[in-house]
Amino acid sequence: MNLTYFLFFICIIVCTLIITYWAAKRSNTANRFYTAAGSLTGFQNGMAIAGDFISAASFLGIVGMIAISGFDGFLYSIGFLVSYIVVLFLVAEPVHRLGKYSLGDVICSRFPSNQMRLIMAIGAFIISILYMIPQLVASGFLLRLLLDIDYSISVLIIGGLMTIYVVFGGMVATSWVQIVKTVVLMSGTFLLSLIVFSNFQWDISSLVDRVKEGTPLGEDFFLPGHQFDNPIEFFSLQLALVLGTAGLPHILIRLFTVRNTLEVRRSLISSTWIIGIFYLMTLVLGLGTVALLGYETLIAVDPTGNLAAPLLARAVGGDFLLAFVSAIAFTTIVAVVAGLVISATTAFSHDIFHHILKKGKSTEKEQLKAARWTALGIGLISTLFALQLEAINVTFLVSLTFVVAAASNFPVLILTIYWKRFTQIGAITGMVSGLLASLLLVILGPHIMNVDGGWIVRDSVISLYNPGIIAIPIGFLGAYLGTIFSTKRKQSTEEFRQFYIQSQTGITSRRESS
Amino acid sequence: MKDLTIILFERLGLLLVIAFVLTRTPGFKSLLYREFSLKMSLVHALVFGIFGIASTVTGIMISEQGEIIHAFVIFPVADGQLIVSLSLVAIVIAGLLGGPIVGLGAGLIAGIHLMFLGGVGWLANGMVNPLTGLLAGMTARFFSNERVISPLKALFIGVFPPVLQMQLLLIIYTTGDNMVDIVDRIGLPLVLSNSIAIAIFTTMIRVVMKEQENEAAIATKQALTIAEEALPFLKKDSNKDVANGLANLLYERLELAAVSVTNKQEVLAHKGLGDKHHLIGESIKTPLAFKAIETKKMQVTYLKTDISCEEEKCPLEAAIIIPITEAEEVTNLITFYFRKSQHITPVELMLAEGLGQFISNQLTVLTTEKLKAHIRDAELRNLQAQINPHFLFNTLQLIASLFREDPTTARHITLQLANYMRFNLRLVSKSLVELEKECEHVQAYTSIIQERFRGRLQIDFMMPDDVSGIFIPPSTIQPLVENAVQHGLKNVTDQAKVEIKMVKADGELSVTVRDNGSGFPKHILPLVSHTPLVDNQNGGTGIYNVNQRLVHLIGESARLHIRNLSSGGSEVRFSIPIANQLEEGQVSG
Amino acid sequence: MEERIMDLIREKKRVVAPALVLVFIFYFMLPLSLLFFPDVMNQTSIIPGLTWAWLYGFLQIPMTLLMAWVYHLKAKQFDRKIEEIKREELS
Repeated sequence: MNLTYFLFFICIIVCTLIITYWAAKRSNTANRFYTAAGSLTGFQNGMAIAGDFISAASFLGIVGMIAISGFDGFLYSIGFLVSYIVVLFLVAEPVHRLGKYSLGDVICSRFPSNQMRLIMAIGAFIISILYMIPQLVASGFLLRLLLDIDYSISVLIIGGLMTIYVVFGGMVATSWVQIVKTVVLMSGTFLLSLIVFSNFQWDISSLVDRVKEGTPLGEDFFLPGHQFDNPIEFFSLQLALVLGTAGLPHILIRLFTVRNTLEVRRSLISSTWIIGIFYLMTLVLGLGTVALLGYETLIAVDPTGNLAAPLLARAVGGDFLLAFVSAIAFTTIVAVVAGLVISATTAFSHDIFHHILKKGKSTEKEQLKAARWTALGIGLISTLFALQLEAINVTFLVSLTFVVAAASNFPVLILTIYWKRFTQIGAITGMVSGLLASLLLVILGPHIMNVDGGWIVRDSVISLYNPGIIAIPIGFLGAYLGTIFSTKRKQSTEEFRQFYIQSQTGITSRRESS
Repeated sequence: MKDLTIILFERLGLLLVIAFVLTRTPGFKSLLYREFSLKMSLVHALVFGIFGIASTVTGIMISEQGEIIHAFVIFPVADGQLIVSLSLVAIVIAGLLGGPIVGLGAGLIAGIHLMFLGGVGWLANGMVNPLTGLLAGMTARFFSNERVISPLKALFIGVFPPVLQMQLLLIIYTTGDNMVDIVDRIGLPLVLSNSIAIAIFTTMIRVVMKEQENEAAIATKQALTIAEEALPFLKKDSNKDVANGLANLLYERLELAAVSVTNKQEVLAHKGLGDKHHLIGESIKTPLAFKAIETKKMQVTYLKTDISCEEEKCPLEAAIIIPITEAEEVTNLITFYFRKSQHITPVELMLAEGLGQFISNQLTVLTTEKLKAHIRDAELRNLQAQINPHFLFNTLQLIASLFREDPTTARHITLQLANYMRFNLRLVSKSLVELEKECEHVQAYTSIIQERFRGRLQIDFMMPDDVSGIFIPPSTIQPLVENAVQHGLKNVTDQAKVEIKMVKADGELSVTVRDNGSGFPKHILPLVSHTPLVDNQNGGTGIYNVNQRLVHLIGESARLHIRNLSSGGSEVRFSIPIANQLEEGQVSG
Repeated sequence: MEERIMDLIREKKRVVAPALVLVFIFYFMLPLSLLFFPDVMNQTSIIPGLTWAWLYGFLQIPMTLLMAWVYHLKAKQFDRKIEEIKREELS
């Protein structure tokens, strides 16, 4: 691609980031590393949540998956969307009421203990890294497309830049990054969809026909089953997706940034709308790719399908549109990375550093430094992993993150809020078992252990690409067993009742004796 | 693409020149500062819309074959040609400056014009302008609270509208690959040229606003300086002095053709053109002036006839008449004269009004101050006039005791007492008396005292030969003598001496009263004239009272100087200037 | 007061729990129905050009939004009643 267009690409990114910076300055929210509480309206926060959530996976990966596999790709979108109901119904309000900065706060409001914090922080750390890796992979792909350089080099460049940006406090930790990104992303995607439609003279059936022509699946394209011929696989994926969001730390901490539960609900409803509309548009884009670009062409450039959207842009709008769409994608990635690093560094510097290591006595400066080091660590680790994952559609990678979240954070969170008999030991074992199980199963699964192209060149032990259906029950089981077999440190009914009331209504009664 | 970029910049240059000229016109300047109203917004929208049309006209066309046509876009174009218009610059600025209504309005005007011109992309061009205007307007307040957004921000915001335009083109026109190529060709050049043009135009507007603000700042500074400098003139006592001072000051500072100051009947001062026939002392003739006096409001005239100057060749053609009021009554008029009626600008009008108010207020304040001073003086005099009861008592006793043995002296003392009391009465009614009279007052007192302390006290009295025409506040010397006698000589049984000396020198009269008594107690010395000392009956307050009256009436230079003599005793001294012989009004109080 | 609160919570649960179950059923029936009746799912539905599978898939989106709305309404009621209790008992 032309240098001029590359410069244009850079220019759009810079403009968007600068606009974000102004927006942030204007609202006077402190550029604190931690979330700034109570200053956003429900709708604004909803946009921010959507911004945090819609990552490269949703934008690039899903378009690619739909282009390649049709219906099965769409199922990812559905899973991602419906998961918000789970968050709204079960988890949102209690989390808002119980915590202040991190998920650790929430669990520790019932089981105050440093061990708990440590485990939660580690969990958050791992999940953030897992979510970050696909972002780096996607940007590696993008850069490769734009500049025609080798994937590994691309990833190194991006990883390096992001780490530097994040460490040196370019991290404008406000929600405005997400909000502006959501606006830009939604409008860009909307316009692109319009272009696709107009290419077919606004006639959907002709679009559908062209799709059938463009793919080797032909008529069958619209049938389900091209990706998941195994129903268990199917089910497992759906399970992980629908429960996973409720275990994602960087989404849940967004529930702390609004004033009251009304705004929490509003946030979630807004983000559900935004995400829903977005996924409809990505469907259009996916179909458009197949119709206008063709399966073969797509595979030729990128067999993973990660680059479907930019390639579509180039097909309908030339280098100009390619640069623009790539810039949007890139901004999306940067925004998500920012959000992830915030949550991970919060977990580390607030929970581990401040509470555990320094026993609650550290200055904000010290915490900031700790946060920076954490950011550096995350950047490095993610980059290293990303280098190895050239052959995977990023949506897969993200869904693995969902498995981990659904198996570790979700059971612990639910049981903490709702199960009377739950104990601290149970929480710890639940977390640990969930984490270990999911990670182990992924490693043993065909993504990693693959005879052709995986890290470990062997036959995979487990054939499930998505081990959710095994890992999630293990998480719950671990929590249950841990609870049953722990004899000490049980909470009284009364204590739980107080806690329950607080989590459900926000009323904290401090009656010593009546 | 490079060619296109260069051409676009050339055309932009043209546009910016027009824009620059536009910003120099006073019409445009006033446009920027009007208050918000629907009508003004529509006017703004119109202006920017026309500018948008001009931008389109100075744009270029691209033919079906992809060649650039350099002619101006004045007539509707052929179907296969594409208009590349720079109208987005004007529309974005309209939105940023004026908000959504102005942006939308201007966008509609430019958009409709583009649709009318036709060609490939007519719908997209037509739609993108109102849309951009609306969006720019809505987001403007979001990014910046300044009146005019900073050029840098405008630059970055300006990147997006052409992108939108390209997208619209792609959406609406998908017949064949043509559009993709076109977008590829014109996309980047448009983005670049638009954003830079927006930034430059914004800078221009900022410059205009800065100028206006500077003008306002300078005018304000000038007004405040004049106000400050006018103050000393207003404090002067003679009306003529005040008038002259003001006229000179205003003439110099405001660069007027002429300034005149009048009272209700005649001209007190006139400075500037036409002073040959606008003479001091001439009575007021202008009906406008009478109107000003009557209505107590500022009057302005742009017609020579209203000035009603008899002289044909009088160069003064326009005037502003400012009434100066004191306590609701017009006492003076200040008139600003101009050679041409165009010279009267809002700055002058504002200044005139402001000055009128200010001077009126100041005069009221000054009058009040003078009034207060008079009251104080009267109070003090009243106080002073209270005769020391001990003195009266003792003197009557003296008379009684002398009655039989020395009736002549008794009669003498009685007469002196009568004199003394007469002078005391006079004290209350006048604030200044002739020096001779005061000396008589003193002598009345001293005769009584000397008789009382016969043999023990000697009083020397020295005064210059010619004391005519010297005025002094009444009862300023006598209390000093009284004080010297009472306190200084309290502990002295004989050989007591009081020396009263008056000397005329260097235009000043200095009065010194000395005694050879015990002197002022050390701790009292610094306080004596500054605070009324209440421990002794009447004695302490006497000096304080005298000092106050001297200082109030004449000034700090006349204050009492008190010291203890090295040879024992004390000295109280003061001096008053002789030269400024005050008018009769003052003497009568 | 606690009694009232617990009652309220129970009442809320009585609405929310079934709703959640409904959501889950609706959601999971999609893959399950693809498993159990693939032929039916692949037939063209009442909307021409769309198979039942696709229609079902699309319907998940409005279902999500609708259920979110229902929850919102119920939760608003709940909040209001809690406020009442707070005012009465704690003032």
